[in-house]
Amino acid sequence: MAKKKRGLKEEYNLLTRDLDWEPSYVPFEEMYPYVSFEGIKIHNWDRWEDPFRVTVENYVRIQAEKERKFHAIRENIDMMQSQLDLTDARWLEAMKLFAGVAFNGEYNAHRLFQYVSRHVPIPAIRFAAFTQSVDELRHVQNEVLLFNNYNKYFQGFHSWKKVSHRHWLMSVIKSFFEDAMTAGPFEGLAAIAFGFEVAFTNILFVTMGSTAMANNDLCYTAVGFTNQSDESRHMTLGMMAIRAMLEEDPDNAPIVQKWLDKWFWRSYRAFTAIAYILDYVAPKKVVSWKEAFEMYIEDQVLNGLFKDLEMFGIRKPLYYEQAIIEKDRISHQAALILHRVSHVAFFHTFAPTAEDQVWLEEKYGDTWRDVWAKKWEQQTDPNYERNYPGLPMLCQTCQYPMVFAEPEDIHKTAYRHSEYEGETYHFCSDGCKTIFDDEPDKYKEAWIPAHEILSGNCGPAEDLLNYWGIDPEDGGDYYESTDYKNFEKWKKMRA
Amino acid sequence: MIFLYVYEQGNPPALCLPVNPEDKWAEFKQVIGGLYKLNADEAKMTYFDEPFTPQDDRTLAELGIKHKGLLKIVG
Amino acid sequence: MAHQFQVGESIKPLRTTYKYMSGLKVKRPTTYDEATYNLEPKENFHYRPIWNRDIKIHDETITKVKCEDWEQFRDPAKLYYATYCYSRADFQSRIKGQFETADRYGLFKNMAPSMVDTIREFLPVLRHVIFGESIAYMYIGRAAVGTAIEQCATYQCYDQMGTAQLITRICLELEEQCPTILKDGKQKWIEDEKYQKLRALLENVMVTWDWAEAIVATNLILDAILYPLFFEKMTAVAVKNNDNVYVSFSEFFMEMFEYERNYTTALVKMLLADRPENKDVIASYVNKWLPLVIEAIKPVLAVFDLPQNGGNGEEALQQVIDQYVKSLLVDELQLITALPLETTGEVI
Repeated sequence: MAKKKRGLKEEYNLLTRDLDWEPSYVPFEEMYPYVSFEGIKIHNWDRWEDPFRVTVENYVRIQAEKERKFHAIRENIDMMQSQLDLTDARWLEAMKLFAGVAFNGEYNAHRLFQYVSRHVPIPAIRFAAFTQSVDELRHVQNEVLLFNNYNKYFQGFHSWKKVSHRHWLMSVIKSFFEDAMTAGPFEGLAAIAFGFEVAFTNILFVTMGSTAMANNDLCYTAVGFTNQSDESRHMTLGMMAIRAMLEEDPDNAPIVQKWLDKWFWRSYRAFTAIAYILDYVAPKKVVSWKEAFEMYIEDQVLNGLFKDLEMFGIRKPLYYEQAIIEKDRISHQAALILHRVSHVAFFHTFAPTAEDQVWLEEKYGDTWRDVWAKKWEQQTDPNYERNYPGLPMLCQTCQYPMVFAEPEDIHKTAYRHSEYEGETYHFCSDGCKTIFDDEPDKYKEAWIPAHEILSGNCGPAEDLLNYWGIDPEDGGDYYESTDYKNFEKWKKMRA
Repeated sequence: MIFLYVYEQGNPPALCLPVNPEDKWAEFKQVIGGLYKLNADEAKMTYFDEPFTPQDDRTLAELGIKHKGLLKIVG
Repeated sequence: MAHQFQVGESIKPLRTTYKYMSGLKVKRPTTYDEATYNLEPKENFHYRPIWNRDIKIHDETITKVKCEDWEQFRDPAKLYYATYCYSRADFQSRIKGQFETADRYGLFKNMAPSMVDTIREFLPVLRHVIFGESIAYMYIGRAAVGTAIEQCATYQCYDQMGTAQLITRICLELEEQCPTILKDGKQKWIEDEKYQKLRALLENVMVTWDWAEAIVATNLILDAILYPLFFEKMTAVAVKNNDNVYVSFSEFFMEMFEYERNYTTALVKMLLADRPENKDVIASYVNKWLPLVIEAIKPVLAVFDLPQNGGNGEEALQQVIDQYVKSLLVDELQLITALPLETTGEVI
C-alpha cells in the first residue's frame, strides 16, 4: 500500500515549522524578549517559507561532500607549495588584509545568526538563520586552516587574532560586525543578510575571486568558490527577510528604510579595502573598483535591487549619490594613507609601480592625471616624510582615517561633526554622521583606537607593535621585505 | 590631557594629538611647526571653520581649544 | 642580488602554525585545535548590545560559573565543521539505510498495533521537546563563552533539529496505521495533562539565561533521563511487542545523546578543576532541576504501564536515574552526595 501522498512543501512544513508551538507557561514577551522593541510588526509568523527547504539531512550530506573536496584541495595546495605559483607575493598583502577582516567577520556572523535564530520566531527564518550560523562557522574555520598554508611561508598572518581585535586599522571591520551584533534581531538580520550579503557579496566574491584567479591564488579561489555556494542561500534569506518585513505591515517600511540607509553606507565604507586591493595590491589586475562599483553596486543594487523594493515604498539608500561620486576616489585615498603607515601595519605597502600606473591611468583617466598621479609624485619624492608622524584622526562611525573628500570638491577633505552630551564627535561623511545622529548612545561608545592608545589602554607606546601582534618584518615597503626576497628566491629554487 | 586634531589642508588625515590645554600657544606652535615643517606664525588657521588667531602668551584653553577640537592649517 | 644555491637546499616553512596556538595547553595542536582555538573575540568591544545594555558582546558574567581560561575547553569528540559534517552525513546514511530496510521488509507497515499505540503516545510529543531544546541551544550557543564550548552547543542545536526531523519522519511512516499521529502528538503536547509539567519545564529551560545552568539542566538531567527512558528502556517494550524497527532506530537517538553527554561531562570536569566554587554553583543547578525534571517526567511514564507493555514506569525511571544520573553526578563528578530523590524520600 502506498504511503500517504503529500507535497514536498507540506512535508517540509512538518519537518520544520510544525515543530514549533506557542508557549503558554512562559509569557510570549519573556520567551521572545527582543521581538518587539525595534517596532517591526509581523502579523502572520507562519506565512513565510524557506525557499531552499533545507533539512538537517540534506544539509549535512551536501556540506560533507563540499568539505571533502575543499580539504583535499587545501592539503594539495600545502603539499605542492602552490604559493610559489602566484604572479607575485605582493598579492598576499591583499590576503593579509582579508585574513584580518574576514576571519573575525565570519566568526561574528556565526554568533550573530545564533542570536537571530533564537529571537526571530518566524519558523522559516529561524531554521535558515541557524543554518547560516553553522555555515559561517564553516567559513572561518576553513579560512583559518587554509591560510595557514600562507602563514607557514610569509609574514603578516601569524597573529591574525591580535591583529583583528587590536590593530588600529582593523577596528573598521570589528566595529562593523559588532554594530550588527549589538543591534536588535531584525536589524541584525537586515544588516548582514541583506545589507552585506545581498548588496555586496557579488563584488566580494566575483571581482576578488576573478582577481585572485588571475594571480594564481589557489587558496582564495578555493575558499571563495566553496563559500559562495553557501552565500546563495544567505542572499535568499536576506531577500526573504526584507520582503517579509515589508509585506507584513506598511509601518515597517520606514524602519527598514533606515536600516537599508545605514547598512548600505556602513558596508560601502567597509568595502574601501576591496577598492584598494583591486586597484593597487593585485599584481595582475582584472577589474577596477570603479568598474566593479558600476557593475555590481550601480547596476545590480541601486538600479536593480532597490527598484524591486520601490513597490513597498523603499527608495534608494541615503547618500548613494555620494558613493557614486566617490567611485574614482576611494581606492586612491586609501592607498595614499596606507602607503604612509606601513611601519605600523601588519602588511606591506608600496607605491604603484610604472606598470601599475599605466593601468591606473587607463582606468581612471582624468582624475588619475589631475589628482592622484600628482599626489603619488609628491608622496614618493625622496624628501617627503613617508612615515605618517603619529596617530590619524578616525571617523567615529566607520573608523577609517579621515581621508575622504567633500563630494563636490575632490581637493577638500570632508569634515562633519556632532555635539552630544557636551562632547564632540567627528565623521568622514554625511552618511557616517547620520548614522551617529540616529543612535548617539550606541556610537559614542565606539572603541576608537587613536583615543585608546593615547589614553594608555593599549600598553606602553614602545610596545605597540607587540600589542597589535606585529613583528618588525611584517610591515614596511613590500619591495624591501623578506616576503618579497623569499618569494623571489624560492621561485628560482623551484625552477 | 585633551585630544586635538590638527589638519593641514591637502594632506589628510588629520593628526590626533594629546595636548595639555594649559600649555601656552608659544610652546604648542613649535610642535606644529616641527610636524608640518612650517612657521606657525605665518600659517593661516581656522578652529573648525571659524577664524583662529593665536597669541603666544595665551593657553590653548584660553584660545578656545576644547577636547576633540579641530585645528585646520589652511594656508 | 642573485642568491647562491646550496646543494640540497629546500624550501623550508618559517613556522608550522599560528603564533597564538602556543596558548593552547596541548602537546601538538591537531586540525581540530587549529580550527577551533581562540576564534571568539575577548576584548576591545565597541558597543553594548542595545537589547541588553548590561552585558558585553561576549560576556563571561552571564553564567554563575567561572573559569580562568574558557578557551582551554576541548570537545572529547574533537568535532570541527568538516568532521561534524562527515560524522553526521555518515549518520544520515545509516538512518537512510535503516529506513530502506524497514521499507523493504515492511517493518513499519507491519508493526504490531499494540506497538503503534505505544509509540503514538510519546514519540510525536518528543518531537516538540527536542525542538524546544534546540531553541534553548540557539541561545546557549550565542551566550556561551569559549569557542570550543559554543561550537559544541551549535552542533547540538543542529543535531536536535535533525532529531526532531527524524522523529517526524518515523511518525510519517506510521501514518497508515495512525493517520493523525503528528497532529495528535502536537495536541497532546499542548493540552494533554500528562505532558503539561514537561512542557512547563521545557519552556522554563528555554528562558534560562544562565547558559551553563541550561546545559546542565538539559544534558545532565532532562536528556539523561528522557533519552535512556525512551530509547533504551522502551526498546524492551518494543521487543515485548514483537517489534524490532523501533529498536533499530533507537541507537541513533542514543548516539546523539552520547555526544552531548560526553562534552558536558568534560565541561563540568574542567570547571570543577578550575576552581572549587564552581562545585557549589553546579550542584545548585542540579538540586534545582533534578526534582523538577523527575516530577515532569513521572506523568509520562504511564506509557510503560499500558497493558500491552506490561512494564513498570516507576521502575524504569529509577533504573535510568541510577544508571545515567546518579552514576555521573554522584559517583563520577561528585557534584552531590545523594540524589534529592533519596534524601527527601519523595519528590512530588
